[in-house]
Amino acid sequence: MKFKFISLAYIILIGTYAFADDINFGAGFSLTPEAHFTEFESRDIKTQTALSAAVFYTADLTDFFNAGISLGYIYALTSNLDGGWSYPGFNGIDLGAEFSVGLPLVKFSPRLGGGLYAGWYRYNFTESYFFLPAAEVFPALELWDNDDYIKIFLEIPFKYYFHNEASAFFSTGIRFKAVYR
Amino acid sequence: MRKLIFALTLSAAAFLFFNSCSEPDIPQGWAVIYGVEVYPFNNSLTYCVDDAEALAELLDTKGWNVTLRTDSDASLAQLQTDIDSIETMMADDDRFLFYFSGHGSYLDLGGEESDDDYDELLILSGALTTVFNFDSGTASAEDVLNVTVSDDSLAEILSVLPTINKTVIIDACNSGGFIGDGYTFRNIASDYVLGEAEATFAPIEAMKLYAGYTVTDEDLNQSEFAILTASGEDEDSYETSQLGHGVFTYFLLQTASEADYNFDGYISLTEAWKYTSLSIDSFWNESQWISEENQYMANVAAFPVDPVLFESD
Repeated sequence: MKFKFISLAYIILIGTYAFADDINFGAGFSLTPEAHFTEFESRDIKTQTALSAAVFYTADLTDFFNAGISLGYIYALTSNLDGGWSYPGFNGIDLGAEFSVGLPLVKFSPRLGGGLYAGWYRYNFTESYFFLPAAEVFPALELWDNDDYIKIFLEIPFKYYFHNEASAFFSTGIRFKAVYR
Repeated sequence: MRKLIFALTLSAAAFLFFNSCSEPDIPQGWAVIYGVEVYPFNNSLTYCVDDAEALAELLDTKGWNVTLRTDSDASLAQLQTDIDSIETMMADDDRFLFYFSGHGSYLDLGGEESDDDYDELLILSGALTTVFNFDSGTASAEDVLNVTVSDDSLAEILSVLPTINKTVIIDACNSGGFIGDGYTFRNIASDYVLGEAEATFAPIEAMKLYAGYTVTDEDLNQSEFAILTASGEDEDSYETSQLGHGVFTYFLLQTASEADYNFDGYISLTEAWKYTSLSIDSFWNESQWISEENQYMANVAAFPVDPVLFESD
């Protein structure tokens, strides 16, 4: 119930601002090579390389606060086979609500962002599906700005997945994000 | 722009680092292979011993320590002896694999069982008479459990092994019923044909499972066992003279040369499932000679851990 309320409030907030005249809207895509760290009880922690891509719609709600929604796809490879086993690779989509804050009116300023995600995944080569909510924080740096029309950001996301069974299931990577306003 | 190039280079280096390949450290493997085809009352099968012998040979060439038992040697008492013997020899991180080819069935033995209240059974040598006697009311549930391997008793028998790397592969009717609870939604119906008619929307089912997931001790728990079965809980599996094997096992034997889908040089259980299920579908289910009620599909549960079966050819 609380999740539904927060989701609804978020959508209303975005929707309300969408009708304001002085809001800058943007859309873009991101690409993230990343490493997943997975550990289950009685097993070693192993890494899985992954590549994720996302499209997003974003709005500068104030001079320093930005919020948006995203739709992403991830493909994670299987971990190494040490011990005669691996954590299997998986792929799937996630829907996210993201925000970031930065210093107002300062070009190339560092930003700090975060997001909440709902992800639907399938283990590679199988018909086995699983659902995972996740939360993410990311420091961001503006790398390039073409007169405010196109901006390119570099972000370092730390994403934690709320897995029922795993004792650790999180990822980090380097995200390139291009925004057209 | 220099910052962008630097960042791209850094990310490529990180990606390559985490994806770097080195020869994996694969521990020793112990396999117990059982095949039973001689059964009373005109219920004999034809190719289960061939299945067992061929898989034993394949595993032997791939470096496994293999114990092979067929027909009258493949009894419950012998299985317990074999497991006890391996338990004294294997190290904690060794791999273990149990394979069975023969009759499978299900009975209501009165315990608190999985969703359908039935115990799935592997009918070992000499056990079929007791199963029939149970059906006719002249044998008890305990009598049946004394000569067959049930989904629960298999978990108990294998629990003495010190390793956590346990794999079970079954080519028998109703073998999907051996798969216990897990956190993934397996989008393969327990009955292949019926399941297509009642197809669910997997993402929604996955969400429901996340919200309401509980682990029980029924069947082979997925957190302890990786399991590959020839058929679903409500399906038969078949053998054919055209292949000279059980259909599932025939394609399982081909995985070493055909199923390295991720090109890592090894065949994992999920890769074996993909190859066997696709092959059963194209060879058996899509054949014009096979009626709908005789169609079936292999099942797999290898989560969170996908075991390595062997190196690819």
